[in-house]
Amino acid sequence: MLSFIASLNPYPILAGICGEPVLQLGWFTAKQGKSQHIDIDGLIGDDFSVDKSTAQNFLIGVGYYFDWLNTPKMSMRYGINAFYFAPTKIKGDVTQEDLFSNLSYRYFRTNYPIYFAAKALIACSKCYDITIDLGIGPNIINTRHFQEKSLDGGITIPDAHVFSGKNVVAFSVTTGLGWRINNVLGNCSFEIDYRFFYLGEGELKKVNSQVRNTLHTGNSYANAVFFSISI
Amino acid sequence: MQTRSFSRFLFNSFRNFSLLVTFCVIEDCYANTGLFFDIVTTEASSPLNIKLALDGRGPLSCQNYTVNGLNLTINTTIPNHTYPFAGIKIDSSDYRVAGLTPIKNGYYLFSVSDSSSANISIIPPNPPWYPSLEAFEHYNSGRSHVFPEATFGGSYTSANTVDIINSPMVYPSGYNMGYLNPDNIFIYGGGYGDVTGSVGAFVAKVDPATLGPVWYNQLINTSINGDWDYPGSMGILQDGYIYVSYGYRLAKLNKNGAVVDTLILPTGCAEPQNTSYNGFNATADGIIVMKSVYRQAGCSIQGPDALLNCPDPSDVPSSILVSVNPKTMQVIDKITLPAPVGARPTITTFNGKNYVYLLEPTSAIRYEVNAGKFILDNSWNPGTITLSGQTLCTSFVVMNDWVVAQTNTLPASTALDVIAINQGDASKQYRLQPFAGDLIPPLVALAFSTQGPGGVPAISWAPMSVSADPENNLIYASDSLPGEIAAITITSSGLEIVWKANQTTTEFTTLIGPQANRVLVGTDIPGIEIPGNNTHDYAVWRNAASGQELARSPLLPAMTQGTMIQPYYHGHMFFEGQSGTLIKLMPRPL
Repeated sequence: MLSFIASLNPYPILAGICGEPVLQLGWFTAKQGKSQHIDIDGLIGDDFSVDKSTAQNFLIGVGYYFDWLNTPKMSMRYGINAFYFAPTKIKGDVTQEDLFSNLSYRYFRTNYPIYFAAKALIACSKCYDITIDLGIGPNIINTRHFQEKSLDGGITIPDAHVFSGKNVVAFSVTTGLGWRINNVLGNCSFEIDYRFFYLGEGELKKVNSQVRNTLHTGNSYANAVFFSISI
Repeated sequence: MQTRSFSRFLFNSFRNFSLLVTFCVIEDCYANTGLFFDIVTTEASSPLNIKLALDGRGPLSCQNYTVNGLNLTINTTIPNHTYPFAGIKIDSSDYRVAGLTPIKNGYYLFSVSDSSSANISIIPPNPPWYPSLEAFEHYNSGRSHVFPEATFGGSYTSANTVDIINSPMVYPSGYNMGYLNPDNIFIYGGGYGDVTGSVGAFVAKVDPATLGPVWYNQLINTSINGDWDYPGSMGILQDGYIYVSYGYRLAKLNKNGAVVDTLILPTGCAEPQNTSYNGFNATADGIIVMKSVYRQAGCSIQGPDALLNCPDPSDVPSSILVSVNPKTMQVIDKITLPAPVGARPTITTFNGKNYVYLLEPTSAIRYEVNAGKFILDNSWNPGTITLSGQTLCTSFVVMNDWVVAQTNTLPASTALDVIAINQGDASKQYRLQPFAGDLIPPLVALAFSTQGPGGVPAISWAPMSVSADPENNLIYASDSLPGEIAAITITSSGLEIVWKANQTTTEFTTLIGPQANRVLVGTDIPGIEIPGNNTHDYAVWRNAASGQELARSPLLPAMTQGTMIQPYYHGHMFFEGQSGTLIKLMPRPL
């Protein structure tokens, strides 16, 4: 049994690769949503407003970095760093025919950015480094669970089939600062990071042929704080 | 003291703040909500839940409303925008909208704006018949002939023309049609054994575009078994099954044309092969009521001719009245009537009771139908209603508190009477001879010079019943010999003629369209042809209120005699040619 548990320890496996795996867990707050007018064939159309433009949730990340440059004061690494931003809710009101806010709406947005990342480690002491991160790459934006709700006690019926979820790939960048504690547990390092993300714009799928333009998520920006463990 | 004042200040401030917050919350919740539609209702009804959509196609921008009337005047509240595809959907499936055809999602589409109203007439349920434009031969069990869901495809104010489509195959002596919806339409026919090609009852599903058969079920071949081939009828009950009476049988078919059950009906003192149940009717609670007619024993003449040309057509037993449970297809009750009864039964609910009205040779009777059991109502006795020289009446038609019939089903030597008998008091009767003294075309007079009772000249013949429009208080009577039709109203002092027009028909008339724009549709035999032996017909649309002719079809082959131009959706109608050609009539503005 012990040998089995030992076999689950990733270190012997990962140690064979000349890079540094990173696991990240933290919290983000995102600015998102976009007020917009939806044109509908035969109607004046609907105004979709955004009630609350920020939302929070957790994120997890996984990366793998290779050594690039090493000097006594600074080292550079490059690699791939992917994140999962847990779903955040976008909600607001629907002003039908530009007159009556009879409905509210909501949908969820989930981001899966994958970055080609570069990390600079500026040595403060033998135990601590300051890190600077940069990343650029695609962000897979998933929208889902679009739903409308009556605001007038059920008189107005939510439009049943207007929008549905959709996956969109958008351009994304990230940059951030961190504080790294080296060799906390054996070769494992621990890092506290602040990161800014530009996550790009997604959209929903229009599922009614009378709807002329679709609902966009707006450009999203996120500020995140997370902990990283480098093995 | 100061402490108390400060406490009061704090309390008041908190209270005012709380009220302000509460007000703001409520104000915020309902600040900008609003209704898309203004609705004004007339013709009060029990509350009815409807959905209105600014666009019924999606549907998009829909709201729930409850209305307390069946006639709706609808405007939008959104300024300066016309909604060409606004929609209405009625939550109760038995209700429909007059003159409109629902799309797949159940919405009826119409155009409306804040300045241009839409007038919507909601058609109430028509129990026990299936909720479609036509499920029973004369629309309702009271045989009004008013088909409120049907419309006139032409213009009410300018000239019209009528396009036609002929069926690619024949439906011999087509009698009546019934619909589940615009796509599922059925025809019954074959009951005129005296017409070439008619060999017994059939039911067919018709492709509404090509008029070709989707399926065709020949229920019987009377040219082989010798049964009397006389017109029955077809109706669709609320269960969606097609019921067909033919000979001494009642068949129940599903919409795919398969016979689910066939009931052999009692024939009384007559041989089965001489017995025919000429159609059927049903009570509001779904009990089928049927009545037999007979061909003289030993006579082999087929079709309606047997009633005229057998050696003694009156030498037949009394009719049998039967009630049938359509679910079990079993007879509930069976009685022998006092005399032979030719006209089809008429059923209505009056003072909470189901009544079936029947016309005997010179009088009328009614039975209460209670859970399928017949109870003779001796308190309702109109006495002798036909005059000397008149022949028996055609079926009653219910118009509000009245039942109305016209005499002279067979050629008669006394002018036709339209007779209205009060349902509450049979002694209260009105009668009117709308065509008395009117000129009969010489050729027609010559052809009918010996057709009256006892071989005397006939001056009147009306093989069809009246039509009645209870909402407009108008009765429509016809007489084939003077070649006239008339609109008649019931006043507190009697019957009065509203208008008369020259139109020679041997068929029932049809009333279509909403109450305010009712249109009367009927056949018109060309002037040089003799009614009953005519080989051609026109279809004619008239303004039912004024009698003004609105449209006339091209010359058509003769219609199956004693039938009716069948209303259909989209402003179209079906004309059942006696020789079997089914013709779609499509009036439109020129």
